[in-house]
Amino acid sequence: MNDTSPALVAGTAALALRARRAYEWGRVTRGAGLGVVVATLGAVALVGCSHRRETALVAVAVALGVALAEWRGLDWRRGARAGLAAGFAPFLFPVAARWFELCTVGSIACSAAPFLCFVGGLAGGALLGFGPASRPHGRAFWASAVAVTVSLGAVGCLSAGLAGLAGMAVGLAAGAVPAFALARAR
Amino acid sequence: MLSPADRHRLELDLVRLADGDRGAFDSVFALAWPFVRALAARTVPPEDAEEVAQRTLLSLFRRASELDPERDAVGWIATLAFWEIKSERTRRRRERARRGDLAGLAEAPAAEASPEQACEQADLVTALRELVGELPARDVETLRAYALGQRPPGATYRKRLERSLARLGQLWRARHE
Repeated sequence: MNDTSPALVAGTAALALRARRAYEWGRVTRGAGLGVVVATLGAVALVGCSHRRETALVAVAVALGVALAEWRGLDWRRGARAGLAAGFAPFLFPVAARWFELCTVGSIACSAAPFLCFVGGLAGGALLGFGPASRPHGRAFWASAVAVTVSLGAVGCLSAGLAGLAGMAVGLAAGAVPAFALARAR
Repeated sequence: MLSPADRHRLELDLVRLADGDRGAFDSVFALAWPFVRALAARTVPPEDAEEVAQRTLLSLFRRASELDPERDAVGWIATLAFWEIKSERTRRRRERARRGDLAGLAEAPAAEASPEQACEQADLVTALRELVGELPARDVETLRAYALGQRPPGATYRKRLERSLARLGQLWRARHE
C-alpha cells in the first residue's frame, strides 16, 4: 500500500479528527481546572460577605470567562492569566480583612473596606501596568486582562458595596495609568 | 527518525499549539505521526505498534497545552511514547504470564529507563526471543519454569537449568559475537 492509497488517506484523516478532538478536550479540561480554582476563590470570598448573591454571580462569571479564555488560548489566555495575577490583590485585601475580622462588625463592612479595595486596586493596576505593558500585546490580551482583573477584584470588593467597587476602580486606574505612561515613554 | 530541520519545526509548532494556536495542528500532526509510528515500530511487536502509536499521538494532542515551552518538545513526545509502550508491555506481559508463555516473560519492564534505553532493551528482548525459539522444547520448559519462579527443588533441575542457560549463551555468542 503506498502513502497515497485511499484507505490510508481516509485512516489518517480519521486519526487527525480524533487527534483534533483530543486536543480540544485537553484544552477544555485544562480550562475547566482553572475555572474551578477561580470558583473556589469565589467561594472563599462568600464567607462573611454581605452581598452574597452578587458576589456569587460575578465569581461564576469570572470562572467561566477564565475557563473560556484558557480553552481559546493565545492572547485571550495570556490576558486572563495576567488579569488573574493583577486582580488577586484587590480580591485578597478586603477578603483577608474580613477573614481576620479586621474590618467587619457582624456582616456590615467598616469604613476601611473601600480603602483596602483602593490599595488592592492600586497594587493590581501597577502589576497590570508594569508587567504586560512593557511588551506589545493585542486587543484580545487587554480585553481579557482588564475584564478578569476588574471582575476578580469585584468578587473581593463587592462586600464593601459601591464604595468598595469605586475604591477598587480608582486604585486600578491610579496604579495602571502611570505604569502605562512609563511603559510608553520607554 | 526526524531530520534536524523537522525536529526544529516540530518543536516550534508544538509550542504554538500549546499556546492555543490551532493553525499549528496540521504541521504537528504531519511531523509527529510518522515519528511516534516509527518509535512504536521499533519498540513493540508489529501487531501492537499501530495501536500504541495512535494512543501516543492522541495522548500528545490531549496534553499538548501542558507542554512547557522551555522543555525539549521531541523528548517530551518520546516520554509520552515511552509510557504508552511501557503500559502496553505490562499488559502483554500479564496476559502472557497468565498463559504461561515464556516469550511474554522475556519482555521485562524497562523500569526507570529512558526512551532510548527502552528502544535498546526492546531490540535485546526481540533478539533473545528469537534465540529462545531455537532452543529444544525441554530447554524452553526449563527456562520458563525459572522465569516464572517455579523451580523444582533439587540438584537435577539446577544442572538442567545450567545446561539450558549454557546452550542459550552458545547460541547468543554464535549469533552476535
